[in-house]
Amino acid sequence: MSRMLLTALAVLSTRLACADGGVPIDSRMVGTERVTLLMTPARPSVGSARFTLLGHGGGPVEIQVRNGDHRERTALEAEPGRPGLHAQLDFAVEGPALVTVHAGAATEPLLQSEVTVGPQATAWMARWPWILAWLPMLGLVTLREWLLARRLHSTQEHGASKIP
Amino acid sequence: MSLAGAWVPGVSAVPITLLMVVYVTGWARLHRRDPARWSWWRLSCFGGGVAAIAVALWSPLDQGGQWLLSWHMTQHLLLSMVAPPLLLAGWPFMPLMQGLPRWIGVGLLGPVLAWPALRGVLARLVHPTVAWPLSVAVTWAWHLPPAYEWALTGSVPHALEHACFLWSGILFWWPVVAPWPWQGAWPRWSMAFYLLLADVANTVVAAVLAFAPGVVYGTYALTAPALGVDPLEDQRRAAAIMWLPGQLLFLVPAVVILARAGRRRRPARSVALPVLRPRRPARFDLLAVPMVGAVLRHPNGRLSLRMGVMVLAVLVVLDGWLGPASAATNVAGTWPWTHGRGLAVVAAVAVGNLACMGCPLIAPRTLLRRWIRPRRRWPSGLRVKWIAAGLVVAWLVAYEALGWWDSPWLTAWLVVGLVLAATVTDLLFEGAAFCQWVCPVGQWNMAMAVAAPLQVKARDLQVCERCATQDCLRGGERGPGCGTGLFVPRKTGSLECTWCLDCVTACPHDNVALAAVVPLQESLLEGTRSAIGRWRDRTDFATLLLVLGAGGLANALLMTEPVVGWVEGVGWAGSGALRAGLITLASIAVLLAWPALAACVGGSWRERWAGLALDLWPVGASVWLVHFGFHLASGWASALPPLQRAAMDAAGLDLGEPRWSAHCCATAPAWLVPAMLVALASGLVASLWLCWTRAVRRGRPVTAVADALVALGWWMVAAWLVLQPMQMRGLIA
Repeated sequence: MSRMLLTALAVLSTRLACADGGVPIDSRMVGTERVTLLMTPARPSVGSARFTLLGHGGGPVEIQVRNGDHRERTALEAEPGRPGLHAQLDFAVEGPALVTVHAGAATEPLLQSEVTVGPQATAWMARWPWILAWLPMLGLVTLREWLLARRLHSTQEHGASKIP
Repeated sequence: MSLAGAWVPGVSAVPITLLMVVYVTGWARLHRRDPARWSWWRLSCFGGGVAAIAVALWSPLDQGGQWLLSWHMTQHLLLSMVAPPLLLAGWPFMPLMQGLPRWIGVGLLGPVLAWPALRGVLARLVHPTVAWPLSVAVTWAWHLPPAYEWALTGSVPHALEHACFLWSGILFWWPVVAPWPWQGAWPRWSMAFYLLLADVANTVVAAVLAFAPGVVYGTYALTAPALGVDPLEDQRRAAAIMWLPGQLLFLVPAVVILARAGRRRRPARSVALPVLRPRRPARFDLLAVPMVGAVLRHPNGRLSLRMGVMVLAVLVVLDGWLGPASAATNVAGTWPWTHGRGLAVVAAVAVGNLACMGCPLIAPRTLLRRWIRPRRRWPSGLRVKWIAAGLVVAWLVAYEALGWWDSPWLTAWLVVGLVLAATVTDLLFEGAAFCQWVCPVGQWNMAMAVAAPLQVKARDLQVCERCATQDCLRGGERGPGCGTGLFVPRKTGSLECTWCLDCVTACPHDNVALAAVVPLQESLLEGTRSAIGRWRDRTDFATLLLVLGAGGLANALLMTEPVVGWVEGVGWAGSGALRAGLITLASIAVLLAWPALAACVGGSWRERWAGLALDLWPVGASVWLVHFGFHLASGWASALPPLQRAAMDAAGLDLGEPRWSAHCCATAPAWLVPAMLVALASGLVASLWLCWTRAVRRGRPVTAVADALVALGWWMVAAWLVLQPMQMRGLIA
């Protein structure tokens, strides 16, 4: 019972995502400081992506995604317990997308990068390890059954050979 | 910029916590038996190893390791050089085997772990001539820039890298720590040189990083400066961490091994050879647990439980009649459908038929029977499950057609109707006639408990053999006997058992337990079952189980958005309610046709149908678990706001604005879909195992193919619906 309760607590306190800092998609020196923009996942597909800006000294910063006809712009904001500024944006269509970071009222983008957006991952593709979870379980049960049958067979043979 | 942040326990928290819990359970048993061998030191070592993994994977080190090489290096050091020797120094095999439930440790894993081929492979893997080069190869390969950069591109390659370090570390440290009872192939002193050689290999990588003229890993050249850290300085720091603490982790054990090898050996203390469970231990008995057991054993304790649930039912009824019509803001719209069903299914699978035990429907009967004694017996012609099976189908059809889940008013009347029907039936007829032959909810609860780990069982069958009165069945001075006609020593499985525990009170020998059993094992028993008879002759029972299984799938299908959209778009059969009802009925019929066809293969159709019912039930039960578990997990926070609103409406209290955001913005937690798929996978594997074992026992292994195809078909439907967008019933759209 205690095993079940503790495991249930572990499940409830668990988040699926591992900490994933993302891959740098653009970086440049601003004065003496280096500013870097990171994106998760490394190979984006249609759907949401997470951006992290490291090294920005201060002031409001916005990030914009231009993907086909779709444009989305939002502020990069600090999150408790995590360094840098963060935002989540959507890629609407497959193909090239331009990600730009604007600091304050400056017209020139602070950082700019073109990324290629892949097709939307289907639920089946995204969850395939869990969908196939029954295969290793079945493998274990099958191996157990085979070993038990083999043991029974050899016991019977061994016993039979003793009969004159 | 500070990297200190929050701890994030990822999915690894589940296996790691489970590992620790199993170890502690097993260690505690062994410690009681032999405290000198299974000392607190062993527990501390294992706990330290688990803590090292937790720090590496859940602490800010994991996040920072993506941006700073020195943090990443610390993480790798913990996973490959700190955690493995500590885990192995806890001598984990015996405690882990002892800590697992017996049917898993001995029944499932035992034959596999005793397999000579597997033991041979493991023995080779931990041989110094294999473990050493493997560990060095893993360290060098992952530090090559392309591999290291690849690991930084996402959580999957990163997890793979960590798994490589942890497992190669375990193999490497195995011959060094020599966890008891494993015996090393080489003399102990040779392990000192094994460690020294490993230190040299480790130093090579550290030196390359320390003396490289530029930044080796391009990612850190972009991320470290953005955090105000010079990347070359960070790289040298990482090299120093690998070099100095790494060297200490190799050299200190080497010195200790050499020093011990130089000592004169004392004669070994005589110890008994380890034997896994030399005698069968006493089964876990929930009734023997302090406090809980006392409450459950006493009739008034159980009555209090039911009266408590009755109070909740009264709340549901009153709010259903008097509260708002919107289901999401009404206690009657949320508690029964989101929380009640979810808690019942989780309790059934994790413990047993607690839902029937706490059922408020039998509280009035229990009280009124003190004055009104029923004289009639339930008609023998109606002692079949056909009525219950029909009522289950009617319930499922009405649920969709009338939208019970969306109407607090109807829900309230449903509760009142069930209480009245149960009370009238049980005041007219003896025993638990309503629970046994009528109640569709009770049939569902009893069926769900087939997969439960606890069952009502006789403590000692020899006591039952000597018993002449059979009070557990017939009743006696201490109280009534079993209302459903179960005779405890001959009881098989959980069907027909409402966990009312009247048998516990009635038994004069205190010989009834809520004992731990192997889930589903009794599904394979062929003999006569108490209160049921021969299973293969009970087509009514089998049909009820299959209806519940197919009904579970149909019920879940009707809440997926593609099916809901399709139902709304169908242009025939009048109103939407009629369409939903007819489609539910058609879905159940189609899903029942599959086992009906499979039963045509191999022998008597009736016998095959009965066997298939038990074999397919694990898939069916897992669908109910997944369906109601989804509502519970995604809507648990919606329990309080309707109650708060009801209290404010009824008593005029100012309790503030209810937090309706718990309804409108509820999203399923990220772990839920994987957990649902794992639950379905467990159901499928259990079904396949039952199909195969039954077919082999019947001497017709070929029939297992047909049965397995039906199980796979049901599972595929269930897996498809899990991946569909769901209608968030009981929540504000």
